Amino acid sequence: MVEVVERTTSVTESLKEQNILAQQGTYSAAVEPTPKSSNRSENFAYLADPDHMIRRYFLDASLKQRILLRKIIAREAKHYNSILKILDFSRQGDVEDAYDAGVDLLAEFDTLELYDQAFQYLDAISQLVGQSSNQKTIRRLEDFWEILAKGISCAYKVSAEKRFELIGKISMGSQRRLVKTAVIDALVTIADDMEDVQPIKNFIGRYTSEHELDNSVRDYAQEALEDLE
Amino acid sequence: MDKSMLPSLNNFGIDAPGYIRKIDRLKHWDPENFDNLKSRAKVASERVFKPNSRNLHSLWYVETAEQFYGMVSVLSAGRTPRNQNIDFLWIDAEELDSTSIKPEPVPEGQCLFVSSLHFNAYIDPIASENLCLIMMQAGRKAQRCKEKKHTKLILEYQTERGCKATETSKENCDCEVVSL
Repeated sequence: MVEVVERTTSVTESLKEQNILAQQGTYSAAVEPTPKSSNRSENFAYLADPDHMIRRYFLDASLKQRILLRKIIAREAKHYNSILKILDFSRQGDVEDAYDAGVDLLAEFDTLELYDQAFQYLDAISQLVGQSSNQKTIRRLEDFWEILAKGISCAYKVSAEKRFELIGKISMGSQRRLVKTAVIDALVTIADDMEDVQPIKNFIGRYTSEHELDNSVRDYAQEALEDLE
Repeated sequence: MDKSMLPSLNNFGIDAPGYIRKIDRLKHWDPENFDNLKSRAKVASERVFKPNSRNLHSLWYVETAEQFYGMVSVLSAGRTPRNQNIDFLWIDAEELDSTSIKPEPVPEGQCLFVSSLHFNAYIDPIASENLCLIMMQAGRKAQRCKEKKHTKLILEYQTERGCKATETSKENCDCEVVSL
């Protein structure tokens, strides 16, 4: 409990430092729950839980509130479970603009540490699932890989080289068309921030070779290469 | 900005007027391992019109390129980064009629020029599957407003016009100036 209170205090102090809490009505509305108890620490504990904020971000927040919440969630999330939660919300039909909201949130993280852990988890699950005939499981994993790749490519606070490296790992996580093309899209996005685009071109070039059996992926990669010229 | 640099509706295979359905990714329209159109339509429809408890789905009505640009600025508002691919499907009004889908106007976004062109439509899973099948039979392809080639230019143009869905520094957008 002490740890939670300390953490929440640090969140609140940090917000005050940014002079946001006092000035932005929408912000405080976004992060503060309706008081139900006179116990302040209980209320603040609720406030500080990144997973609660993720839920709020997807289910209750306006666009303005989402923009503000992104930065706090990205700073406060400490476990890769938060990334998995974001991926899960990002594919839900009942969440408004779920996919884009998820990508925008993932783009705010300033290191790839949690992404890397989420990648390892998904990679292990993918190997377990293997050639499963359960279409729902396959598609769920596909969605996760796809959104993770897109989110990493947009993580503007992380160097392009590091993003490139992790996308390279993700490219080996699944052989599905949706994931391969998501990797290609991610590489095109990252290319914008690379000093030397040639490694990206070489990587995408692999998908245009005869080793790639899916014509749709080959064409997609070819078009991506043309866009990079 | 030289307006001739901006993409036309023809560039996106749009046969206006009609509706635009934004989709998460181009390839959701083109799932793998399906040997017939009906099963492909079923799988694609579940991603193009993700099932939700109210069966409500967003559409934009577009007649002109200017309206398309306004829609792009609304869809890009608050994005990180702002210049992103916007993938979409073009839907003919007759295709909606033939599946008994009736869009209802629901204003959306900060762009004064196009907010009234946003619609919500009740589309249940059966209707969405039928609609996707009709569109696939017509050879419809998903389109992409590309982040670097199109979206960036469109947003620059909209910002110059003072569009309220962009991060413009202009107090009034061109729509307001004309109406003044």
